Amino acid sequence: MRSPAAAIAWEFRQRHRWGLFVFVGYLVVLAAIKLVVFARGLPVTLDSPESFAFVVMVPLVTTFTYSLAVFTFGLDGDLAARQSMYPARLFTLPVTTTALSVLPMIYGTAAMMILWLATRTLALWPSGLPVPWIWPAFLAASLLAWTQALTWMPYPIPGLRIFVTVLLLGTIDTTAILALHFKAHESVMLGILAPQIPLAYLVARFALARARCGDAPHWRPAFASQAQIAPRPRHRERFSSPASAHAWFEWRRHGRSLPAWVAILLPFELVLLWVAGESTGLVVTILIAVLLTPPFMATFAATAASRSSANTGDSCGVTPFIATRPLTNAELIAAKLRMAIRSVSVTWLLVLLAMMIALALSGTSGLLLERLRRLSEIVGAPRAVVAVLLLIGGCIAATWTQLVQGLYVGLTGRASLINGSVVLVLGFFFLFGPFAEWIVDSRRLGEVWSALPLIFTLLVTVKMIAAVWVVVRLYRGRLLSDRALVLGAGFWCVAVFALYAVLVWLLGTPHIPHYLMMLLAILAIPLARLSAAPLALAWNRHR
Amino acid sequence: MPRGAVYGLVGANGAGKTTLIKHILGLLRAQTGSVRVFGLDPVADPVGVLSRIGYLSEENDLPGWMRIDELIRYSRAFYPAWDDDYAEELRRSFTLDPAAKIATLSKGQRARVGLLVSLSYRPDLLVLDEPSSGLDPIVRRDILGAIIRTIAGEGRTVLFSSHLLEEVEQVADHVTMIDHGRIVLSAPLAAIRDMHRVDGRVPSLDEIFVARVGSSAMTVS
Repeated sequence: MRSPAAAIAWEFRQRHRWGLFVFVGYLVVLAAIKLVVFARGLPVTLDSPESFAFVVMVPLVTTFTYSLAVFTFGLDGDLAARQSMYPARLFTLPVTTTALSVLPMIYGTAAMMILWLATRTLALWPSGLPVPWIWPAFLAASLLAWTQALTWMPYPIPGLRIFVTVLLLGTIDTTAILALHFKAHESVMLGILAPQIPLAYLVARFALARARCGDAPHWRPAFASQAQIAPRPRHRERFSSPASAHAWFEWRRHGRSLPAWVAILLPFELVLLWVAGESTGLVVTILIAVLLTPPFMATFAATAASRSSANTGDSCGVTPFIATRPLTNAELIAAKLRMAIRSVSVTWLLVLLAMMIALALSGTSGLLLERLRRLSEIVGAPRAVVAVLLLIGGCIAATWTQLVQGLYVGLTGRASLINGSVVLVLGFFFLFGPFAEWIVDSRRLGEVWSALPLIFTLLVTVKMIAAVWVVVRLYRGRLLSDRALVLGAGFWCVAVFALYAVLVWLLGTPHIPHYLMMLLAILAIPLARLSAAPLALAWNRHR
Repeated sequence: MPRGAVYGLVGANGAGKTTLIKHILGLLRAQTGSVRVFGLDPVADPVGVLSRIGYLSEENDLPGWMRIDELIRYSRAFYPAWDDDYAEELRRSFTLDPAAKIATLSKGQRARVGLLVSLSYRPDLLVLDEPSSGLDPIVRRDILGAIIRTIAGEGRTVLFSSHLLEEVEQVADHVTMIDHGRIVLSAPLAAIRDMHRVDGRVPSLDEIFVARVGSSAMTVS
């Protein structure tokens, strides 16, 4: 290596060589397809959205997201921490701060330009679609440059980085979408996007200069010096048991992030009620979006909550501090479950209170009540009440499930398993959209409906086999007591039958067979993944 | 290990000292053979074993977001034998501010906090894994003082791994040298000194270590 620039480039290339290899392979495949189509004059087009999404958009977006993580050093850092995500080990290199900031940014910008230009050149695009050459490359590069600048910046409050980054990237994205909507010329798009890149470079240079000298601001001293609220020791009651002490630990470490995130988002959503005016449909849509916010945000909060380490910045493995707590694996898991219950309770208390206040103040409560009255006229008052309760209860349960169902992966402490599961989930969501669209467009909904019993039966079979395997392992490893196993199975059966009874009563129609509702109830109540959490922790804690 | 002994565990980097300690704490599952601490399997019964062990490691991964008083309140819940007066005495002698956040403490202060929470319940076995590595002489003195305090308690045992052999020499009454996962020498310190006496001169533990482990390492290479 002859220069720092070459060394840093080598590190990117060497560490992510497999990702690079897959990307180059994908480009080769794209080029081969195009060559075959052009050379033989085959009548192949990518006019259908699902095939276009599958062949071009999904790999493009995946590569873009992966590149964001690579060039921001995001795969190693902690997005929610106050400290800069730039690797501290590079700060000690005999290189100027400008070089430290600019080099990864130049490589990132070049990668984004190549990504777009290669895809634009090699991919088959829907006929008649005027695909621009330049500005999308600048859009990708400016999004990356700002992400780099904002993730390398130290912040005074944990979590502020996510908020600022989402806000700024959302603004750039919205600006580009608006410009597209108004059919702005390519030069206008370039005029908007091109200045973003040097601006982001300057911000990144400033951020890194602060981070390199350890200048990480903290909100507490700033307030303490002005308002004399310096932290003082508090004399609190003792914990009643080790389990309650560790539940407090989990709450302090992971429990407050979900309510905090939802509290940040709620005002932005609920303020739309004032815009909705007399449109009942819009009011209902806003409220549904509000109800779906906690389960959606719980998927993000769960990534932190399922970590086994005490400190957010630690690697995946369980740290000695946690591993040497005189608690069983089951008690450690129970503390996480209790934290999740508390976190979900606080979040939903917040959501329901904010919803009621916003409905009352915006004057839209009448519209909602009118809609509910109409619903009760159609299905009867008891069914309407149960349907609303089931909707809210389902969202609450989904929030808790989202928080805890990833424990069985996160607690294994194996980075390959954790990263692999993230890739699988992302891949599923990328493919699910085009697949669902294909089903709707090709009018196969009837076939899917007919195949639903078979699909549900297969899923239930897989779930029950997995559950039996997990329970046998729990029993043999003595990870749960016999009483806990029997009680857990009993509670699960009661929950399944209760949900089944409600579904049968609520959807009492000959079009939906009862056994289908039973299968649905079995699938809806968590079992195998939740039960596997103590196994995962034991595998991690006693390597 | 006999009760009431201070065991000094010494060995080159990668010899297996930390691995042995991890086995004692149940953080590793024995692939062959078995591990028994207080007659219990630390993997099968973590509560029974860990509630009687005080542990301080070089890493000292105390949660940085906690304040010292919070850590004391949290740790107290796990150990029925926690002695509030003793904890307060240690806190004062280490001059620790209860309102201070652990993240803001220096490495030496963190080591003192780690000592406080691992001594305050007077554990039957104190395990110290390179506790004084990278610390100043004052903190090292605190750690040695803690070992002396612990053994002053009746029937308490200390397992102390260190690279600083003069420290081991000061407090250990039994020394075990390990190399590549095997014990190359394990005997009371006095016996080791007698064993290596040359022309009436008693070599230091450093010299004995180099003679034993250094030659073994050379043989291997």
